[in-house]
Amino acid sequence: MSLRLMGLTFVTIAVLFEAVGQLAFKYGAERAHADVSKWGPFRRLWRNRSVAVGIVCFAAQAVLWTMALRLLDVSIAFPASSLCFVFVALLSKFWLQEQVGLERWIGLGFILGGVVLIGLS
Amino acid sequence: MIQPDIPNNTLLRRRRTVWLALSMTIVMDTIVQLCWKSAVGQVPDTIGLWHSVLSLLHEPLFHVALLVFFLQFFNWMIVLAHADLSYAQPITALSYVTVSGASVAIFHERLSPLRVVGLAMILLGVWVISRTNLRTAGMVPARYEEPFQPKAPR
Repeated sequence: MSLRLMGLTFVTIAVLFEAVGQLAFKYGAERAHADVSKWGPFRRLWRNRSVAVGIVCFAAQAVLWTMALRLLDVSIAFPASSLCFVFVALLSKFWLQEQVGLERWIGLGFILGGVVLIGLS
Repeated sequence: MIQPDIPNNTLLRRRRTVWLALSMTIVMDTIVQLCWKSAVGQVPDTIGLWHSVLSLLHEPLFHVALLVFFLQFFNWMIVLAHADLSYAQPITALSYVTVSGASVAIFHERLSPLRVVGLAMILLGVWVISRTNLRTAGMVPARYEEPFQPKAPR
């Protein structure tokens, strides 16, 4: 396996971890928000398994990302990391049943294009 | 999901909450990135990886970055409690624009034309997404959806 392929694999796994972490945070936030007392939502965050899963995912993502950056050039790694937006959109659509319509996909397309151009420059 | 009948002013209030928290997210993201960058810049390259990590721990700007990063978590939870993940997460791409702007202002970096086009495309994408409905699904009804009930006098 070439170094570049290995780096891209690391980036993909890191991005997957980040997307799952965001999803876990979303679950945690919704749960905590259901508590209607004044400081309840914040207290609930500490006893929330989803939030813990999210934090672990982000830590794993940070480690993988650092490893990937040692193998890959930033100009490749940075645009590849924007795949996260796509994974998050797909997970929100199929897992959280959010309405990800044409408008959101078009917006995402623009953002991805922009990130790729920044990576190239 | 069928949207319950939500009064207009609660929707407005939610929109305001989400956008206030999202602006905070972008400001905090920018602060973290800039502090991190200048903290790493203070550490000399010549020492080994382990020593550079150790000396990073002594940088005050690194502490600021960590503190803001910690506060960011709570702020992000407020965003996620009110808005769709597929709405809020792409909007954080705005921090690419603010970080670039701040780098020009503070570090006097030059922006290439390609980069300016890329940043403009991000702005356009965020604008398109911001026009969509900010909450289309929720596992539990959010606080604002519950009918307002005045407290009974004791």
